[in-house]
Amino acid sequence: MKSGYIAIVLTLLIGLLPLSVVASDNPSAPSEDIVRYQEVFFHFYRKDAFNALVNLTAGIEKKNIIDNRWSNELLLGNLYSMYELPEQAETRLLSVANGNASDRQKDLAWFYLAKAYFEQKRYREFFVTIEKIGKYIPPALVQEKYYMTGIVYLEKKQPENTKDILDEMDVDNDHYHYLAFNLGAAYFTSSEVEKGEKLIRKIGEDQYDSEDMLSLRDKSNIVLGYYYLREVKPDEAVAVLENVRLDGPFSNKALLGLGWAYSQLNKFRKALVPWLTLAKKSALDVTVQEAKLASAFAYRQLGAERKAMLSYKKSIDEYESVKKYYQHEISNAFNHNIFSSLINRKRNDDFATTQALKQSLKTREGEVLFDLLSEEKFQQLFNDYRDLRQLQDKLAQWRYEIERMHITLDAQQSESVVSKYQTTSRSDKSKEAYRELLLTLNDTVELQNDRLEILLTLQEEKIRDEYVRALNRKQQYLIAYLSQARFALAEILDKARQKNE
Amino acid sequence: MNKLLILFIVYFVLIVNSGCVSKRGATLKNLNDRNLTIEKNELDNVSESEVMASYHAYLGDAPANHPMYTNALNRLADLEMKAGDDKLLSGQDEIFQQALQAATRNATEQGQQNYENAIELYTGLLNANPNSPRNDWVLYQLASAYEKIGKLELGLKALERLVSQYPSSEYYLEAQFRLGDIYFLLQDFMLAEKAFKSVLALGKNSVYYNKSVYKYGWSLFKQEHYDQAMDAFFVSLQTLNIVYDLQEKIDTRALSRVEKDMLDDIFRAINLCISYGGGVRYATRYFDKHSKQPFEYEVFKRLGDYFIEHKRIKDAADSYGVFVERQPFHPMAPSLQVARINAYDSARFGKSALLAREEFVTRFGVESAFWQRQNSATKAILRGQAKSILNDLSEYYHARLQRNRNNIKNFDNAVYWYTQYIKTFPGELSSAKKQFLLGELYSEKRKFRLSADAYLKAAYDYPPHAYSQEAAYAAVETYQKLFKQAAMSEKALLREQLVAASIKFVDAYPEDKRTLAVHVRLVEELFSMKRYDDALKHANLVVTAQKSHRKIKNKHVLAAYIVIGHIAFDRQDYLQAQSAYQQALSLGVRNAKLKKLVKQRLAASTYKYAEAMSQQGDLLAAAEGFIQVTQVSPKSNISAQAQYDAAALYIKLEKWQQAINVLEHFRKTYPNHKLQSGVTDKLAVCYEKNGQYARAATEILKIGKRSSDPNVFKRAVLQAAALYEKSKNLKLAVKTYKFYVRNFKLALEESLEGKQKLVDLYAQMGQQRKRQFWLKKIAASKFKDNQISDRGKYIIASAAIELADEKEKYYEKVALKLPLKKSLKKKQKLMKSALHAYEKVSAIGVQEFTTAATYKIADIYQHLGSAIMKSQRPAKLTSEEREEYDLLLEEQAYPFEEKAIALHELNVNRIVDGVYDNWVQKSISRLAIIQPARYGKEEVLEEMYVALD
Repeated sequence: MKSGYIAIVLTLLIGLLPLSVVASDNPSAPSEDIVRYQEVFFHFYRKDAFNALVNLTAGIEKKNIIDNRWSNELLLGNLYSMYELPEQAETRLLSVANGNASDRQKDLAWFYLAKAYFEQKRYREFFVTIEKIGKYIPPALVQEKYYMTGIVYLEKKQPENTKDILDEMDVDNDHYHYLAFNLGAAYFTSSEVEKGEKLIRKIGEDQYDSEDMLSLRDKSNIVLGYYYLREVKPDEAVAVLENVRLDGPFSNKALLGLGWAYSQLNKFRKALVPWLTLAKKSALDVTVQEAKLASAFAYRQLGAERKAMLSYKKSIDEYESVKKYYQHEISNAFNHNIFSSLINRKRNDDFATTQALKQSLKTREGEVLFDLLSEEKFQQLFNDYRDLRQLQDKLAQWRYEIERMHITLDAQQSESVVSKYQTTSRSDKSKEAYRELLLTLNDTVELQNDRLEILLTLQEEKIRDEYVRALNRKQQYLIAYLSQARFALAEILDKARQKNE
Repeated sequence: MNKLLILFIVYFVLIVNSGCVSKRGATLKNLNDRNLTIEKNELDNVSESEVMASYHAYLGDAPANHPMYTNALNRLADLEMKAGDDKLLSGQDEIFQQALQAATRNATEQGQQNYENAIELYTGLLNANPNSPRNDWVLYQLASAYEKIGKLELGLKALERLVSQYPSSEYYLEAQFRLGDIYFLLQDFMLAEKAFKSVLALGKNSVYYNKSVYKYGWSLFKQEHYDQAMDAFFVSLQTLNIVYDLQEKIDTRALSRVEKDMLDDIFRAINLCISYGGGVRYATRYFDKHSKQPFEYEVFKRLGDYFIEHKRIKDAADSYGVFVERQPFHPMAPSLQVARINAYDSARFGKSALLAREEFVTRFGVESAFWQRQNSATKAILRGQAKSILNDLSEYYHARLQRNRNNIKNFDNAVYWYTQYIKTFPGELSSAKKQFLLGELYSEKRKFRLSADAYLKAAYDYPPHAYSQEAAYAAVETYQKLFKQAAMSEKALLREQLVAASIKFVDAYPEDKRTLAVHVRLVEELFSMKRYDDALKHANLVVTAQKSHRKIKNKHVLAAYIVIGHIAFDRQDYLQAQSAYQQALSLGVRNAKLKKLVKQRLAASTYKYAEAMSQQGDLLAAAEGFIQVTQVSPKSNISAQAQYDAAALYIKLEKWQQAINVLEHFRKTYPNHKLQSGVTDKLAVCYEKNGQYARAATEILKIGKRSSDPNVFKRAVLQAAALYEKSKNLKLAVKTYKFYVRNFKLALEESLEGKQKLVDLYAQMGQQRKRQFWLKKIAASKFKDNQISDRGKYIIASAAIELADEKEKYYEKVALKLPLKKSLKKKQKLMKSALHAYEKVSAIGVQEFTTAATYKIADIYQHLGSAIMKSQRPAKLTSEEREEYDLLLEEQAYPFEEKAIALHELNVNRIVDGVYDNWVQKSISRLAIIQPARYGKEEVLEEMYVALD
């Protein structure tokens, strides 16, 4: 959800959109309803809520989109919700639910309203709304309805109600597995560990095809693996961690854990395999940093003193390098070019997933930022910033359009000056009116642009603060590893010296 | 009843296979395949400072609350303590030593008084601590102080006390050496010998050993013990870092100045020993007893030089001679022999000098064992030494021969020393003259073979010289004499040698007035020897000469042209061959057999030349050349081949009409020629390229039929069908394609392409029923996904969707009317069939047809919903019944509409995967009409709870 003032500004600007589209469009060119609609949905399915909103509101304003008030309201409600402006979404959806729409439209409006409440954690309203959904929603949404209800029960510490809902659900639906995972996790945090273990183990063993579900499966095995490590059940830990995919998002954690599991079994040679695999990756990752230390430790346990010593020395050098990088980043956070370029990249390609973003960011900076992007708070700040920048770009585009229209009008006027004997026609009057409209628009755009500048500056500061905070946190981990490596090195040399004497 | 009717409607569930492929990749389990080899090893050579530095690094960086911080601090303190103790111990010792050194230094700096002060201090120290174990050092310093102020006897006493009381002292050795020195200075050589001997007894490793052994030698020399003194001096020599150069003599460059002086001193001492001991004889006797081989050269050289210096020439020559005798293979032996010759020359001992010269050549000349062992550098030095010696000897004996020519011994001697000279200096200009003179010497004695050989060598084995040209012609003349006199059995070899000598002569001296005569003879000889390469060369020279020397006969020139033609043909120089044969024919060949041969050769040359032009890429000239062959020799076999090749070239040049003309002529002229099948192949290509498609098809079918390979026939039929199509003969094209798909074992794609052609052709011909037949055939094709190409899938999907569209049309046409049961059953059957058809399309997996099929399936459901709603209502319903009926219909229609929406959504959702084709757009449009507001935010699911990680 967007923070208060940003939400207001965005709403205001989106409200302005139809006017600007009027200004920029050629009034004589007719537009097909269906083409406009296709455009809305093209953006919608690309998860580009902003442009979908622009086109839909413009279509409604210009009356060149299918004239179905309630359908359009419902769609607007969804788009606002998607654009994280819940209050605007609520207004639209309530108008459909309480208006003269069809039963089906009403059911859908109640559903999306419930979903909006769910996302805002307004559970009282959620329960009231969910009860109002009738029979006219498709089966997939029914499963989602169950999912949301189950989660709300978990929030309210009523896992048994969640369990009842889970039993009602279609086991082939993804929502079933996510709810099962969350219920399992809730059991783990309560005293009913066995129930949780059973649920999560099942997810970790099942076969899936989609990337999302494979990722959930990996995560389940990670949860179990680390639970077994804490309980010192290394055999069980090995069994589940080995099921995690090597190229999945949890592979680093799994490699580290697998090494520790073998270590608990005193199988240091086997422990070295995952640790060395992990240690080859980028040293900016905390798990990689730990793997470097762990592999040196394993060498030592295997009596390979020289390798252990070299390993510690190499780790120290790499830690030092990363530490320098962190310090440099912290001190230069205020003129960080790479950071700005990431924002630009994200803004220009708003369809990019974070995974795709990571692929495109092979630099050290990219890795740190990618870690940050997986944090909800940072994501929120970043998305707000991105939206503001997107609006700023739009404003610049409109300013250009308005300017262009001015020039066109001026040109037409000078032509009429040449033919000075002509009397003022009706079209001249409408041009004057049009010019006034353009001037008004221009003022509004300028005013909003100034506001946006201020907001952007504030938002940039917040992002930088968050960036520095994250770097400091990472640095603390690194210093701990560095100290450990230095002590281990001193100790190994000291023992060797004593032995030689 | 109505309810029952409506409930009768079957609810179809469409299972749309999303086509998901398992995305499961490798897991951590796969790591078990990796094996690591870790070997145990320990750290060594870890210094204490390295350990301490490591702890310092840790403490400098770690926070004070780090768990290992205190441990590290304790350990570092222990290490610092230990290091402090070590320094303290070594520091005490340093302080003691510094005190003594300061006293000594003080004495040096401040002169006599300081030494005396030091003596007083040392003496006081000795008196105060008579039993101190460190008194050896004090005595050592005391002796040194006495020596510094010249009180040798007192110093001697201190040292004597030191060696007697402290035999284990670290200063004992130096004390003995200093004792030896002082005794020698005091001329007590026996005690000096004893003291130095004590030093030597303690081994070679002491710093005093080298000086002691030299001084020990002098102590013995002074006592006239020459053998022992010599022994000591040779030991002393061994103490120097002597390095030998390549000549096995001492390389003094490797010695320091001091060592060099020492070396000279030692050899001077050895010379003195030998001189005093009895001269060269003494030396020989000594070395017989005590072999000092590495030093003998230096000893005898320096001894000889010593005698020369003292005008004892005979002794000097003996010294050098003894060494040469003792070590004849020493690299410096020749130098000492030269020194010996020089010594004799300087004293005018003529006979001895001549013998010494001959001895030099015998011992060190090119035929000696010594020479064989030498490397090129040493040989160069030897040559330098031998040059004047051999020159002296050869001139001496030539002069003697000139004085008495009949003395065979003088002739043999002269030949011997010339030969020695030539062998010693091969290739040198000075040898060239000697070689020529040797040839003259042999010629004079009528030894022609030897003289010819000597002349050839004199002429060609050396750089040009004054006798080169004469020697070269003399060689030709000598071989001519030999050839003339030779028996038949020897003639062949001598002819070779004569030709070789002649060729060399004419090549080297083309302007010589005798050269043309040699050429004429050469062409005759070479032609008869079948040496065509050389014959061609000289024949050309004869032809060239003909133009300036009219005296050459016509038949000789004709023969030369024929020889040139034959040889040029053999060398694949077909242009020259052509030209030579034409020249020969123009000169008039009288012999009919020869004339026929020459004509055949001319045709072959023309063909080959055209062939060569073709290889060089001048295809047009080549083609014209081949045509020319038929003009030169129209009835020959080669003429047919030439036509065929000309056609091939016209094809390459894409001159289709010329190629067709030649090929058709060939077909007519040589109906039974083995190349006729190739003509068909070529004509097929030419006709096609020339736009004569039907003719091309006929030729291609001929090719296919004659082949025993069914694949060839198959390809020919396909090609012919395409050509008939191209020639707009659609009927024949259809017939041929049908033959193709029905009569051959075809791969799936081949069959599909053939059938597709039939579909297309029937479309052109407007025969829809037949077209449908083939569409069904295509759509019914069975395939496995991994065994079919994208194109194959496309053809099948394209046919399948066309058929499905037909079914959809039939399905849509059926209206639901009373009796509903009957019409519904019919519609249901058609719907099922259409759905099945579209599902099949979708299952084929071609993107553009998948989205189309999805759209169409959605439309079928949508249509059914609408059809239900529009179905004919039973008559005579009350308004209430009608309302209930409508409501029930709506409830039944709703799921179909939902299904349609879900399917359109599925299509639209493909935008996320980058698919945005016409059908996706149509789905959006359809959704806009049937349910525009059905979209909700699709979110990626995320669990709400943070897991236990």
